[in-house]
Amino acid sequence: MKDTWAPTLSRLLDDDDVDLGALAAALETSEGRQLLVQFAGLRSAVRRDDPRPSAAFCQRVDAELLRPDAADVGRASGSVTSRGRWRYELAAMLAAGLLLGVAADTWLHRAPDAPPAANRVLRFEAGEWTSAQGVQR
Amino acid sequence: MSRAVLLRAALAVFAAFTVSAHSEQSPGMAQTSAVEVTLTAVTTPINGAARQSGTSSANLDVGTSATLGFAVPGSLCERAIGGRNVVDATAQHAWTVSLTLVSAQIDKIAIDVAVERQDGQPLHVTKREVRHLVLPEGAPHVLDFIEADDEALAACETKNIVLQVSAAMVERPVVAREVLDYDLWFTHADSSGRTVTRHAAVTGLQGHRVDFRFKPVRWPLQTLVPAAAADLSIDEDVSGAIRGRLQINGTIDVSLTTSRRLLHTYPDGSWGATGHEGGQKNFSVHNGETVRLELPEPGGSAGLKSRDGSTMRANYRDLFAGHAASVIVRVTRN
Repeated sequence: MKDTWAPTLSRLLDDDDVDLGALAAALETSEGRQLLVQFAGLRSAVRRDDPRPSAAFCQRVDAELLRPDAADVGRASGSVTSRGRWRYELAAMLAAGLLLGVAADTWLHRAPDAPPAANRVLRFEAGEWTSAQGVQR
Repeated sequence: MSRAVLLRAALAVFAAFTVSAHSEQSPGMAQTSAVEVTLTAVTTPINGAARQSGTSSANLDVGTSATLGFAVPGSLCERAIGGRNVVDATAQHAWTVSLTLVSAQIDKIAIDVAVERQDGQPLHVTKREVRHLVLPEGAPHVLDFIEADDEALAACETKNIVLQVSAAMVERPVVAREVLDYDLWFTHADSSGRTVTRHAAVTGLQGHRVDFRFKPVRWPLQTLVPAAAADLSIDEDVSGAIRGRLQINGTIDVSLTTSRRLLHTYPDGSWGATGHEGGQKNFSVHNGETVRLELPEPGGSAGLKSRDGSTMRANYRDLFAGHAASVIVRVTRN
């Protein structure tokens, strides 16, 4: 599957301008057509999904926030220490993620040392290759 | 999603299948009909380099014709180029060139050219001929040549004029600024399967020819013939040019021209090569598809001389028996 198919089909469903060549290439294959159907289904599911939380969910959140011990969270010294440690852990995770991203980018853009596998093999036919050989003495 | 959007999507799907069905009816290279044919006058002065001094062009579809003209009214410094109407009774020399487009593929344009030359005063036909040409895009074919005599040179510093014709595809405006990346590899495996690899990456505008060259592969002769002198070697130099053009159905037409030379360095530091071999291959690929093009085995021979004075006859077909060389190309829309 070509990496241009998904954005092209997505743009089509978003009513944006699309590259007709890429669209034609995508729709020529069963994979591309299946992808189009998946995207259409996803769009449909998103439209059906109500972005507002349900009333029951709101009630449960209110109940949790209004519990008597809820206001004490964060006031105890132990909780502050825990929160500080959490910040350090978050910073460490972000740094690790950044390093991982840089490493992945470097790996992806490394100078290739071997040719890619060929999808097709062609040969020069008669008349396509000329040879004007001299004999050097 | 609105009904209008769904309708547009359905239409796009229908159009895509229609294009697909059409492309399947004519497998292989897509045919592009619009071609610009150009008549060019190249002038050489008595004291400098040749330069293009006039052009006239016409756009043709397959099966259609156009007539272009070139006239020299007086000395070679007076020139008129354009349609057939530039040829009139005042000319001393005149050419009427009728061009018919027979077929058009990437880097392979077939045109029939009928040339009529007239000379003298009054003008009279001195030559008529028809040529059937198959030209790479933009490559000139010389039709005729005129040189000034000593008397004419006194009045004008033009020594001669070459009249030539060329042809090139007309790019579709919607893709004329598309950029294509060409990832190129040269691989050469010896008889034991050991492979040497070279890589080149070039980029070019849609329809433009882009040159490439691989770093030469040095073959110490002892690796090919154990009895050879240690200081003898052959450099395999592979280079070429590539041109790609996006088609309406999303495929890319490619013309790959490649050549191979086998070079030798002599004890005095000079070098030489025997002959020249190469070819052009046209094919069509999908975006990002990789194609391997196998090169024919080399031919010819050379007399090699070592520093100790010994000589050896190198027959390339024997030296490279069992070897396999290829150019691998992957074309990607930038």
